[in-house]
Amino acid sequence: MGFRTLLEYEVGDFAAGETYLERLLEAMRLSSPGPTMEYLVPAIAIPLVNRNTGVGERSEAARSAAEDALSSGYVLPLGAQVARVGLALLAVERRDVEAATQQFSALQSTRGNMVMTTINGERVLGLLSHTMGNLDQAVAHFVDAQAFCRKAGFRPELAWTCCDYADTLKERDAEGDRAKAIALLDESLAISSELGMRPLMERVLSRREILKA
Amino acid sequence: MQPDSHEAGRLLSEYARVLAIEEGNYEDAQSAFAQALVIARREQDATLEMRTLTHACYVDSWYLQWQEARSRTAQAIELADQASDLRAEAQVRSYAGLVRILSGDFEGAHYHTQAALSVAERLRDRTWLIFAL
Repeated sequence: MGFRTLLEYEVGDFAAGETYLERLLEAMRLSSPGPTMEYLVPAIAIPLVNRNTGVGERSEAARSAAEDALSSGYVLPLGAQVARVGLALLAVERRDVEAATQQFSALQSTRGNMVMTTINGERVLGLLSHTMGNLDQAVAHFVDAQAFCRKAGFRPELAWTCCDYADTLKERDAEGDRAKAIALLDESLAISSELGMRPLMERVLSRREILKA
Repeated sequence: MQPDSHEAGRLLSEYARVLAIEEGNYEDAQSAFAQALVIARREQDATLEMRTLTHACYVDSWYLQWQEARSRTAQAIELADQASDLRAEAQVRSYAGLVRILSGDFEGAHYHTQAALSVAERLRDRTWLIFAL
């Protein structure tokens, strides 16, 4: 259900996505709070949905699900990692430097791996580094995320990585960063267009216009 | 029951999984898995050995022990023909696919997931069909 929810949002069918997301939330409401899939899936899915919609809807439900899982006293390492990635993405969404710094230290275990098959660990660390204002560190993580996705053939994740990496380069604005950012956005647009990832296409197009202005 | 009996091996295999997942005790679980494997090999019980390795890689996944999980899925899959336990085979092939996708091994993941799907179809088991799909 979590994967179906994300898939619908990735292709821009927000109405269908919302239907599945509501079913996820209903399953959570019917379960006792704890580090179960009923809590962990919304904890990570909602912030990922928000990156597609650009709206911080249901962020409070995601934060609450992640914190319920983490505070249960019997969360296993995988459950803790998933809940923390959810909190990390919420910290990025809110541009909360303190929360980002806290999750960055706790999420080193995600390096070199995907988390729940939904997001690359290096991309999470890149987003957190950007939020923390450490742009050089963010670039290093995005480079690793890009290499991972390219080697594995994970094209949707590569398209998102290129877009996030371009955001960091735009903000750093060192020599060559602008041209590199445009090239990354071009790559992201090519992949997202081919795969029908409409929300990402729109995100990339708006960024490209600004950079090319 | 004798502590190193065949029956004890079957109990240890299940107990280790519960110890790790329900009690959060990874170390003692590993020791129980190791004892169960010794018994399974001594008794030449491929089904018990495969089930124990399958439980162990499930536990490894929850504890982020991806290398160990990868190695154990490979060992368990080697026993599949001898063990003739389709449920354990569907389970371990699904885990094998998942572990490989998390580490970026797309081809390996595809191979194991296809195999998991085929076993789950033979088994007509919805849980593992959904997992493989």
